[in-house]
Amino acid sequence: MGSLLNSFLAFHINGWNNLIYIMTSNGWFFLIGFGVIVIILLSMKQELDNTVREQQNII
Amino acid sequence: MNEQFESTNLTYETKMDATELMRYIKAICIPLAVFLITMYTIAKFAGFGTKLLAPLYGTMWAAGAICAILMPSHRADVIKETLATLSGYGLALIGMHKLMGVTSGVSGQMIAASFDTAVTSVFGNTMLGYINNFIWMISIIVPITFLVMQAKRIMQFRKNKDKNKFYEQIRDVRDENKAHMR
Repeated sequence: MGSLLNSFLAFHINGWNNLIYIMTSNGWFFLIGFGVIVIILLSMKQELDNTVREQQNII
Repeated sequence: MNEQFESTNLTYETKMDATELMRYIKAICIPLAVFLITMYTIAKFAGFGTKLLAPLYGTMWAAGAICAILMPSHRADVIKETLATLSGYGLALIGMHKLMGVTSGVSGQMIAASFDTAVTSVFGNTMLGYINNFIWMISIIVPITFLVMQAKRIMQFRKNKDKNKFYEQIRDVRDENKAHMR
């Protein structure tokens, strides 16, 4: 069980490091990352703006 | 004392429900899924991916993001269009890559047998060239079309904004004059 968890952790650490390597080795990936983050934030903002919370008195 | 109590405590606010939560999850997960398609496509086309597809993808993502920042009234449309174009682009390229893999070992005789018609014996070799051309065309034409479309959208937006500003100024002058005439 312990080795299973260790290999699971190693797999994910390896995956993250690979992603970081790809992002830092090619400058164009920063542009992609910028686009992804901005689009996620703006679509979240839009959902928040569209939501109307009803407020009413209890009595 | 009583008033203060009423204004602070005795209101009921509706809580977040499942549909609202789902919309937030969608707003995060759909761009992330398109990002995964982007990364997969770039990784799939090794050198071609990092040298040509990554810059084009980066430009398209950034153009979509900048348009969404600049034009708040078109934001939903711009985001939807960007995500649709980017996912379609990636899927088309991955599809072409798979097709290339499938047809790489096919000979002219096999194509003749499967279509039940006569084709030249070299067609098996030339077909790969056609698919290669398709990959190049898709990888370059789609970003150019997308960028031109977004540029046109920004220019149109600017023009409309100027027109609205002009009309508002005219209205202000007219209304002010009316006030003086009274």
